[in-house]
Amino acid sequence: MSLTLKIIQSDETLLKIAFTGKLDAINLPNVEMKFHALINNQNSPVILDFSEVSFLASLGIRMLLTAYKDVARQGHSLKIENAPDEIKKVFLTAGLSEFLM
Amino acid sequence: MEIIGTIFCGLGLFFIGFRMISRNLRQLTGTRFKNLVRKATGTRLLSAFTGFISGVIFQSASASVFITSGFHTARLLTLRQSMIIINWANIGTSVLIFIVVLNIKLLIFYFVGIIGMVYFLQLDKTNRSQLTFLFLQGVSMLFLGILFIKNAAGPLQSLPWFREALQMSSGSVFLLFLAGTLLTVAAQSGATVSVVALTLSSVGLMDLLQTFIIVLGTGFGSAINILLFSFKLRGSGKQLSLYLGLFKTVGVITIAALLFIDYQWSPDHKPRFVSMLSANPGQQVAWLFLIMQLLPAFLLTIMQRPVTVLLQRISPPTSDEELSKAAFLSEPALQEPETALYLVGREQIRLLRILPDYLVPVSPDRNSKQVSKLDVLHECFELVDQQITQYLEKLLKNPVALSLQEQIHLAQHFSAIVKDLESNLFEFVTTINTSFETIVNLPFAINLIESLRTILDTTIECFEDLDQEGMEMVLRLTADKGDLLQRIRKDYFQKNTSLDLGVQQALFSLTLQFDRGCWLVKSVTQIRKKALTENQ
Repeated sequence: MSLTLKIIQSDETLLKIAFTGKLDAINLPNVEMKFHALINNQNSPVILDFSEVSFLASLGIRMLLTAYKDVARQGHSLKIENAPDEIKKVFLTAGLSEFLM
Repeated sequence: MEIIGTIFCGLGLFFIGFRMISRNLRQLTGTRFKNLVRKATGTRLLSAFTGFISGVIFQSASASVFITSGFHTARLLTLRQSMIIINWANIGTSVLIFIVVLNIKLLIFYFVGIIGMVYFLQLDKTNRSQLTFLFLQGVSMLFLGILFIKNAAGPLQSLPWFREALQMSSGSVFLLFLAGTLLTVAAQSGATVSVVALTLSSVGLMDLLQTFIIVLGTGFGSAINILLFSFKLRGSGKQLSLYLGLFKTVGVITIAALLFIDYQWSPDHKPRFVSMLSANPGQQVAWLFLIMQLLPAFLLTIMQRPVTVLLQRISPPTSDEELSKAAFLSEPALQEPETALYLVGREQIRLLRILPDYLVPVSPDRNSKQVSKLDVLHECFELVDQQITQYLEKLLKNPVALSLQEQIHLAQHFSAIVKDLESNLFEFVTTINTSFETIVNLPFAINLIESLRTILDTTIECFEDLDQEGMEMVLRLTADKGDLLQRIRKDYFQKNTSLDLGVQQALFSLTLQFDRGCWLVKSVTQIRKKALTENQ
């Protein structure tokens, strides 16, 4: 299953992006650059909708961490919403829930 | 069938012995042992002497190559030193023809018996002595293997149909050459087959020229032997096998050319150049065999530099070999302790970089990246770790300021924890491999694997970038998770009651190993952060 990225909202108050598919080493290269460009061009809080994400690999987590740091440098927050239970457990286990959820 | 079985068994023992030699020799490589071998091969003369003695005793240049390869791959010998040893090992094998075949069977039997007594009397109490005797056990198995093959070749040669075939072939140059080649491949020793040929010649089955052709065939057979055994070798180990193949081929070509010229120019078409050395036909065969070793040794020594370049081009060191060599540690830098310490830091980070690769084969992303096998990564890690440890020990022996001494101790502490982290990771992956097909598809295991990969990658990135904020984040990521993991695991077991006991135990072990892994990452991060703060 490929990975897609959809912009739900993009204005001065909020950037909201929905991911669909697997965030793994095969699919990430297709969206990573676009994702980072969106983050860096936007100066507002970021929400990522993970309701349609089926798998999160370490590479995907690292992409999110990089985005988190970039957004934090701008003085804003990055949060993940509607993550399936298995994805939430990955964040919990990796100690990332306090940063991303 | 029994003859084929014996030969097969002999090959098996040969390879088991070689593997034991290589593996235990690496682990034995401590400074003291290195100095011992280095003393033995410190000069060209000593290298030559070592090679000569090994050829005389082992009766087989191929076996000398395999032992030398073990030393070369363990970085106890350079390529040049190894080539000198191989040259003289070949020359050493010719002594056997001069003094008629040494009976190494008895020597090997006593050797195995002595090793058995050592184990019976439990004399291998220390780790070092255990490794030493395992290495010697490997040597004895390697040569027991050769004996098995030789013993099978003996009955083969006495079979009537075989002797008839040999006699029929005695009229044809090509068939004689082929006989010498095939017998050498079977017996694993050109010297032994040459002695057999000498024996047949002495009972009138062959004339001198026919015997010479068989001896030529033994050279070609030795080249085939080494190519067959080294087929699957790669990198530096293969370089020496190729060298021996080249050695044998040059020997065959030069002697064949000499014999041909001599034959053409001789009025009675009998080889004269060896008759100038001795009137005795048996000794003439021996001299021919010796010249077949001396000529290539001489020619390849003159052309050592281009030959070395050629070998390194045909079989360059593999990426695994490169991985097991320290990339930054430099002996001259030991004179500048601060620089040396900086290089140690670089090497330690490089070593840490290997660790996430342990998890690739068990990750759902396993096909996204080619990595070496777990045991290869483990061996490479241990070799580099050993080099770092020895380097730091040498650094401490130099007179350094107190503050620098503290930094060196910190670096040693860091290395010790990284080594624990590697062991833990190795156990983690080994646990998964116990029921690979089941465990790698379980969400709970995937969770642990991906989390651990993330933590390792994030940590290494922070260390490389000297990112103190990032290190703070890592310390938070690796905060105590014992209770959390227990909850997640309990919840998972309750929802998946069909898991068998073995898998449940494996998942329990994985949880503990993950928790310990996080604790070790936290420890190295704390040390790294402290070192960074003190340097500022």
